[in-house]
Amino acid sequence: MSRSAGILAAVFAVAGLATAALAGPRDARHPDEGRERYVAAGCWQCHGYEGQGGAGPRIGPRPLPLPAFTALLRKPVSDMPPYSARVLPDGDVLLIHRFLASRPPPADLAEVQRRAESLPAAP
Amino acid sequence: MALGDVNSADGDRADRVRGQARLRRAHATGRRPRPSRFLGTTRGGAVTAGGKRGRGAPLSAMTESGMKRRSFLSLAASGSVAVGLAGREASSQPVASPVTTPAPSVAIELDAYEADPPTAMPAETIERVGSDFMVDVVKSLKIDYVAATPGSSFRSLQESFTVYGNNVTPEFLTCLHEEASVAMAHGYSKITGKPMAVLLHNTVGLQHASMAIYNAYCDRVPVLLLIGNTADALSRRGGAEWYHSDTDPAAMVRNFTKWDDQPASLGHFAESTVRAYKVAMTPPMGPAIVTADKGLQESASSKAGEPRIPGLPRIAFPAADAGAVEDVARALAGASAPVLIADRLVRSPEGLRDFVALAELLQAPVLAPEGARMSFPQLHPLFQNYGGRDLVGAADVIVGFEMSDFWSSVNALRDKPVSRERRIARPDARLISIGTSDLFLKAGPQTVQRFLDVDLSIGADGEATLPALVEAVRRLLDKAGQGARDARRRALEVRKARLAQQFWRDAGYAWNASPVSTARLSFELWQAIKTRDWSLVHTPRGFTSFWDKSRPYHDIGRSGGSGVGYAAPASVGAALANRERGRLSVAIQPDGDLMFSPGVLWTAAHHRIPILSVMHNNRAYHQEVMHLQRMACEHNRGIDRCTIGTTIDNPNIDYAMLARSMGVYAEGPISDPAKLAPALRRAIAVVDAGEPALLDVVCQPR
Repeated sequence: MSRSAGILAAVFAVAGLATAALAGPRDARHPDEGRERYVAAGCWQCHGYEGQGGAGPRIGPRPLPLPAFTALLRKPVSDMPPYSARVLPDGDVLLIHRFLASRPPPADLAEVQRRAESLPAAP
Repeated sequence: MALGDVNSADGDRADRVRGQARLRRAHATGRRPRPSRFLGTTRGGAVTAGGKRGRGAPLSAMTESGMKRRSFLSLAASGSVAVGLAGREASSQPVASPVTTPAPSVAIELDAYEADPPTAMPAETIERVGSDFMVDVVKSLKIDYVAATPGSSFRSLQESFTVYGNNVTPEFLTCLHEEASVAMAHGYSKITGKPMAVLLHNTVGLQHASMAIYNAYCDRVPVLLLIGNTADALSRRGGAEWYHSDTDPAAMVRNFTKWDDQPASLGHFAESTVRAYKVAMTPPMGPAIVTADKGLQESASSKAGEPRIPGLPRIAFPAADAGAVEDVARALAGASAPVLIADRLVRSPEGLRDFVALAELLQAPVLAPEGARMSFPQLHPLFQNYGGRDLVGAADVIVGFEMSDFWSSVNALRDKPVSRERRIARPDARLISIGTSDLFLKAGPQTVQRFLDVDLSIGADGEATLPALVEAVRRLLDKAGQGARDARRRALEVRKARLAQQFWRDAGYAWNASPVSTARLSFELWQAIKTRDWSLVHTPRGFTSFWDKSRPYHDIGRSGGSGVGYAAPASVGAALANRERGRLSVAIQPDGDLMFSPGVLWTAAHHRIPILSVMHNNRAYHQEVMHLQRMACEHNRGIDRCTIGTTIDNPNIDYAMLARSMGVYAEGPISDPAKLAPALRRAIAVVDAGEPALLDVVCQPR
């Protein structure tokens, strides 16, 4: 193994360990940690508890890819306030991103409406 | 002893008259008079026993040993002794329980009084008072309701409304806060198109009312405000009555009312009240004030000698002149991408018909600012509010009708530390404004909004201008351009269908979430009412953008001045108007707003005003939560303390319990979306039976 390859392997190993420490074990210990970070960071205030949107746009269950997601958090192009790394570290962003990506798909409203039509009208 | 002989040399005449009336009623019915406001704590805090300064000994002071003749007479005048008298003089009358047995000392005093009656017996009754005439004036205006929290500065007027006027046209509405009185009138007017009267106790009541007056002013809604005041300083009782008098009563709200006057005679009152009505109803509409002097109210009058009540003219609204209409029509007929934007445009079905006709002639997209009143059918293919800014950006002619903030419809301003604004409309787009805003302006409150350099500004009523504009456009449209207009229509239909599909897909997210998503709340509510003749009397932003709003009363818009505390009472006022029209009134009620004037729930129950109030309970002043979050982020700090001072939890307010405590049917808190539809059906059954109902739904924040 060349020296540079060794360094690269070491970097990947550290990165892998870091990622494992950040995601795997934590996810195993606290399945709702992403939700907790999402709520603690106040994302729900504009985007709803499920990322479904509200005052701000919908951001789940298919959020932007993580790099773009992070970049937009740090330097928003819209009315959204900026979240610096000091306020919201990258690790938290990752957890939040995973939480959003795991949100359930939308209900089939056509089906819901069909069922609703069969309900009796209000008395 | 004749009851009319109850007297006191220094007694207040009007109070005596009322005390005697109570005694008579006690004789007639054998019932205990209801607690009298002439014997108790007034709104100003002074304890009175029906008369002038010095007569108002607290009841606790009226001990057996200490109760003197004067105290007794005051008590008798108040009516509280009536039961004793009724027992003595009308023992054959049925007596309703509970009956208070007169204390021994009272009986002794009564005997002493009968043994040694006063010798001087001036006339004690006034058969007609100035306030009776004032009621005749209000009746001449065909005002259906007068809302008030009672106050001594209009006590004679209140008695005239309820007794002399038989409590009909207008009927007295008991409100628990003056802000609720005015907001109820605000909502009522947006359904009926005419004012409700509101009685306001001077200085204190008026200050309570001031926020709601401001909302009505910003929303251009007519309200007739009658303020009690005691102009004659020598006739004021000490203490509260001085604090509640003013040399210029309307001054504190003059910056946001259209007109006011302080009449010095009954004839003056008649002219000024009719004038106030006319001024309030002339666009731009707004609240107007007439002071009803307490001396005038309580002074003797005679029908034969009373002044004439002026007639109310038919009020024609100011339409644009023919030349201006022709200019607008030419611009629209020649446009390749016209856009119409309407704020407070439509008041009537005829106005709606004309506006639809204009849009369909041009096949032009129609937009509405957030919170606007319904001016165009929401499901019409030309209504393009959902994502409509791109249409503004493409337009070559944009006409704004009755816009309160035209600037923000054609520009964007980002809420950033360094504000950045940009024009959305094309630089060469022709901008035309038609509205009454410029016809009546006041300095002070910045209701004028940002200045927009339009190409043509027409100071005229939008709805009144529509018929001429429709005809002019019809005449000027080039037949050869019909193909292009039809193509524009088809493109807009496709756009609307695409955006609707997107909207419904977005609405499905968080469908089963708890707290309940706003889309789910809105969907379930719509399913429950859509087959009915419904009227949406309040909604926060964005909730009902898929509802089939096709009539003016389907959405009466929001508060105007964005003053919190409007939604609950204005909804009840609008529901009162809808009650007579057989409509189902529906309000989506924010939690923070309800707590400003929760007593209006009691008013709704008391007056049997049917309304379905479905709460959007996000347990916060959520707009402020977001503002705090923005500040913390921009200051590069954590947001963990943004809920301090902005959330309404710990403990959570039990709104259903609150409503039930005031006689309103209520359920909640409802956090499970599956439980919403059945609860709605139960609540609507209550409303159909003529009662108010409230559902407390714990919701997602927006």
